[in-house]
Amino acid sequence: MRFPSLSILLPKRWRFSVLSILTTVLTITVGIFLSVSVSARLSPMASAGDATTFNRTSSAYEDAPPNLTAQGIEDHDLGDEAFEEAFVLTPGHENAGLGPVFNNASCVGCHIRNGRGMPEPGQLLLRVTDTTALDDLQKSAMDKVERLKNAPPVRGLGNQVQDFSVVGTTPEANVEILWKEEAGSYGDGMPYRLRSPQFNVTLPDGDPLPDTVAVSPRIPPHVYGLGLLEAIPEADILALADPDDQDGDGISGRPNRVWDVVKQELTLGRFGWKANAPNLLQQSAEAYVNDMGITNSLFPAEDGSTEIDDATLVAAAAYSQTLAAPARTLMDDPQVMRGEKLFSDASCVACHVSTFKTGKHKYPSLENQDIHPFTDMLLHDMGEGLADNRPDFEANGQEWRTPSLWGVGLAQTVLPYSGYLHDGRARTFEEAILWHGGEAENSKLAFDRMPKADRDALVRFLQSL
Amino acid sequence: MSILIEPRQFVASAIRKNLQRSTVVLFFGTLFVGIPIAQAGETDALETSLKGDRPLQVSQPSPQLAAMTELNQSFSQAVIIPAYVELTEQTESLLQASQTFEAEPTETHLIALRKAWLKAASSWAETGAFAFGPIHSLGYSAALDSPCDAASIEAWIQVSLENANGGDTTLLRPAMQGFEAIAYVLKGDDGEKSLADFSRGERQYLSQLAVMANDTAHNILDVWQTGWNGYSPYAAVLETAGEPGNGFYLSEEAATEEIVRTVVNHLDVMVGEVLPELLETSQEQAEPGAVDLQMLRSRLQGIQAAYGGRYPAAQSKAAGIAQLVAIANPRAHRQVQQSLTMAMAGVNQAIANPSNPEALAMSLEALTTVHELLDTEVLAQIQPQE
Repeated sequence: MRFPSLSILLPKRWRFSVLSILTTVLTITVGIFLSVSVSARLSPMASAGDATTFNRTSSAYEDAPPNLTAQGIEDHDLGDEAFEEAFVLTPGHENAGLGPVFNNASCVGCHIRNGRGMPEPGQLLLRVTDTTALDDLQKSAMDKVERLKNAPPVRGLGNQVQDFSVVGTTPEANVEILWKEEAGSYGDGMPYRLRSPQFNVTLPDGDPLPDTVAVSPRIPPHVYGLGLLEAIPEADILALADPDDQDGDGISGRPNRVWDVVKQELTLGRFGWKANAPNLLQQSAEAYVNDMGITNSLFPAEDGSTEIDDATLVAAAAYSQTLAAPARTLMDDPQVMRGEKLFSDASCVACHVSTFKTGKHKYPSLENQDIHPFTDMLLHDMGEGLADNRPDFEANGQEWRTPSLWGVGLAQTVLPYSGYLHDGRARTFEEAILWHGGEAENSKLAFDRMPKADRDALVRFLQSL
Repeated sequence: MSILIEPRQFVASAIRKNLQRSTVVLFFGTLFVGIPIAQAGETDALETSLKGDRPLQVSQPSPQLAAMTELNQSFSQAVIIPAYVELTEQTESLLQASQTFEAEPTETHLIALRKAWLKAASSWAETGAFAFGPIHSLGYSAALDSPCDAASIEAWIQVSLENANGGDTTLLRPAMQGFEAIAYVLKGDDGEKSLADFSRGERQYLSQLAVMANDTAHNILDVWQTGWNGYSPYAAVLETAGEPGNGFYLSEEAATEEIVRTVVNHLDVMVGEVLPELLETSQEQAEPGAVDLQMLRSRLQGIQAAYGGRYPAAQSKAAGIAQLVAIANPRAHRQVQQSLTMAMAGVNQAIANPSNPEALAMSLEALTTVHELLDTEVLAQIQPQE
């Protein structure tokens, strides 16, 4: 089909004017289109302000913020060494003291390339609680902190199953993962399959774990960008809390209140799948003692002795404090832009809050940055499907802290086949969304009812983070 | 599996990707430069195109994009997979040598085993220049390359002697297996272990470790060639970078950045840690160990393979990173090539005369140049900018 040309329809002197008017109208229209698109943007490319790394490869999570000061770089490099040091049995070695029971021998053994772990072959561990003691907890002889933790330890296991041991001793248990698969379908009829883990835990005497023990599986969370989350002013996090859902949007969000071992007081929980650690120093100290069996000044042995000095502990914490967050990519990709709008329309942003401004921090480079982590740092009821039924301080058995999403699009680039959600059950973003329930039920349903092209766009947006 | 790229597939893919870009560029370009074009009195050409008198011309992919496409599509087959094939061949030799030594502990068999270890460990060192992908997430790099826990190894050997099968090797942590653990058992603390020093348990343990290393090497090759747990071969992930459904590399630039950055990161370690330490040893009048120098040589060979786009034993050749550099800056390309040659010459001289610190200093200087050029001339051009 041939269209008549302007030269036939219009006298020559009008052609320029008509073309100019047409171009102007078209430009204004596109301008409006673009401004709408831009206004739908939840975050800019620099997801962590000046602390953003523009590396979009498998080493992205290992980068320090480019604006880090000389002192910060020194601390980062020392911390990197501490993070990589493997503890050994060898007496006299500077990293002696491993175990006797443990989950891994080094920080990097679980947090490979600072990314999330895998359930198998991998780094999944089990937190456990004696549920028979829960009811009597407040009347028990446990000390104040144990009562606050709200997670009575299991005799012989404590609060975590350490399924490895040094040669000559026996691990606390043998853990076998069995996957339970279930079928479902989207609103448009497209089928999907979801899986969830079941555990065969065998104690050294051959007995299974008693039914009265609540088991909470966890994969190691990612490590990058944590210093920036630590720098978010507490008041800004608390301002987002709506524990009684007074705004009626179906989403509450409440802070976990946890014990600060150094300050000896209750404070806001920020880190861990249930926000059970107040800061990165304490989280590092807990990981040393629980995951590697390495006592330290925050968690010493019963006789008060420690297996690492404070310099090592502080260095390891400094490493996690001085990791950048990756930049977004494909900002102008129409599918990404569409997905970003859908993410917002489905109210995902009600919990995955896009923007904060950081406040004071040990590392000045992290201060006063506009950051876009996509978390509100609060606990939310995620429904029975994800429930571990194991309380952790004020978090109940159905509550989880909103995980940050910045850099999540690189998860498969950094660690191919790694899983999503607290136990790594979700193999894809789609599965992770479909497991959402509780306060996120409506967002899940919105995704479920989207046409495939929109679901793909939303996933593409997540991949661009 | 064919190691050559199917030409039709390559062209179709390049056109499809270029069309997507061209459509966006044309759309916005037309809108925003529409007025200047009209004002410049070029409306006739636009009209002609709109009339359909001639087809809308799609520009060819830029040389840089074409080079990235070629690199992504050929790198696995020309460099990564041949390197892992070589690794499996060397670990098989290591396994055979360890079993022979276990059965017949003679001086000859011990020497053969030590040689087999050196070849296998060297082969592994070569792969460091392209160590990305599932090698980390599936635990393969940790299994082959962790610092060893000597006390745990000694304790294990003692305990395993009480077991007819030598103990359950699935319980061996990374620090008790891999090349460093094998080296520890083969050479001892002081590196002067003699044939008479080997116990039955140690010989048995060496065989067990060789079995594990060989299994790991084959697993690495499998995941690149045939996939893992129902996932596509990882080679295909690189080859299809930027295509819909590829959640590993969302763009061709991302995959190319991965290849280049892994080399740059590897160089980072070499010029920041490995070479300075060897140089320091050399300057202190103490000769660097022959094994350390051989490992340095192997690392450098891996970098050469990645840059040139061909692993020595490969059947095919990729464009390599070299083509990208040559397009961006031909002078820099020549500099990189010369520097790599100079670095290798320095290492070879150091191997021939370990007490000569100048040879290592030359290598360090040359590799520093390569590092800087790849960082500034290539990486800076590929990675996303704000």
